[in-house]
Amino acid sequence: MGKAINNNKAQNFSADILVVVIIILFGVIFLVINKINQENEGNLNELVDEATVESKIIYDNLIEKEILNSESKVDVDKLLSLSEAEIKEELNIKNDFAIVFEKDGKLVKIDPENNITCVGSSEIIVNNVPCKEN
Amino acid sequence: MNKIIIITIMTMLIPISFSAIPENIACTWEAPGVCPIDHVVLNAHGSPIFHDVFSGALISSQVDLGNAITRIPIDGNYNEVLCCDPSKGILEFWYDSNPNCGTGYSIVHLYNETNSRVAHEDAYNPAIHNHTICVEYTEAFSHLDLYVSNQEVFAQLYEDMGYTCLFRFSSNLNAHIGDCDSLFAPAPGTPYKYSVWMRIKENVDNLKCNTDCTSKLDGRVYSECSQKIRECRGITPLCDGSLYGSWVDIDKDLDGIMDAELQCSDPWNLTRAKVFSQDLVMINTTDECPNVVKETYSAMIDDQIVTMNVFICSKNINNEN
Repeated sequence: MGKAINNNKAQNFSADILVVVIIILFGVIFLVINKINQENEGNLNELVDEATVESKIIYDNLIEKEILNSESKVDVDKLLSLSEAEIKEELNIKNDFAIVFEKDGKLVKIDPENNITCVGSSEIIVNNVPCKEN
Repeated sequence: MNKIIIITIMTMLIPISFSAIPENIACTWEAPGVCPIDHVVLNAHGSPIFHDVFSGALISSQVDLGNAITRIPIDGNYNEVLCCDPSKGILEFWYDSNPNCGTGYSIVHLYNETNSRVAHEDAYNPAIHNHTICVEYTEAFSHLDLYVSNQEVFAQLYEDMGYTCLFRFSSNLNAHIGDCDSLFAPAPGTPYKYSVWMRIKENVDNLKCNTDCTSKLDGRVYSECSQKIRECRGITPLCDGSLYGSWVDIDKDLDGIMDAELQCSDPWNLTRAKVFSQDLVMINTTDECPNVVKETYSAMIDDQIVTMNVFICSKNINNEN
């Protein structure tokens, strides 16, 4: 009789430990996932910030090179001769980039005779045509 | 993990026309009795956009010409009056049994004084359509230009050239009318095919031209300058109202589609393929460019405000994962 009571107590004790272990496990898993998410989010924000800074540097450079004038008018001939590789090297930009124009959501063709709609990295494809690299 | 990112950019339409041209005729929809009699074009029923307030369905309107003296609608259901006011001179609308309107312009033809549908000049039947909406303009130094457009591309041209839209109608015969935003179906349905446009223009005698064929009054190109300056011969009226050096749409192969552009500057015949396409912007990337960040800036191409997108390929996430 006494042995049976001791067995029951031992079983209850084991079940309690199991529950505690499971709770701790869930807690650890939650903390790990949360940490990974935070790191990914941090990375993403970092990349967006980096891209924003790079695009601003490129924009300023377009003004400096007089591809954009003080009224933001585009010198299309100068734009078409723009070299993405040279700008990346000159401005120490590590990511590829491309410049595309639109009006009311519709594509603006920079050089309609030659069907050029985009200038920059050919890794970016506009309406099925890779951007023009110089 | 390499993947292709597809971005479809659909920016809300921000109509940008030649806003520097002053609006010289203003048309508004008013309640009956508010508009001066001579400025009443016609009466219609419904809200200004002609949508049924209960069902939301397009109901577009028939026309009521109103009492001959007061212009108050004959049918009490007609609760909207199209009222057009010129910035100068005397503009007068009236209803005539003579389809040619005497010294005025005819706009559309009707078969009844009330609850009538309208017919275009090309399709009306004199035996049935015994009412015509007419307009006349009087002023010493200017005249009225009126166009009834039967294609949306031409409607856009008139808008770009500073014309005022009065109303639209749905077909060339037995047509409903609607305001200038009328669509065949809820947005983004196609617009009513026919539209009526007006503009007051300086008389040629009064027109003073610069040597580059622009008016001294507003600095815009006028084909009528060819009557004063020899070098301006050959300017198409499509350039009227545009800035010197700007590009206007033309139908290069005369197939009814405006598929090219003409530059409104000397030598007046320089054409090119269209810069402003009708294609939505779709961006894809190769596997080497797994993440794209877009930054937008405002810019100008051919005197049109455009959006300049700078796309940056961000490669780090992929590399780190």
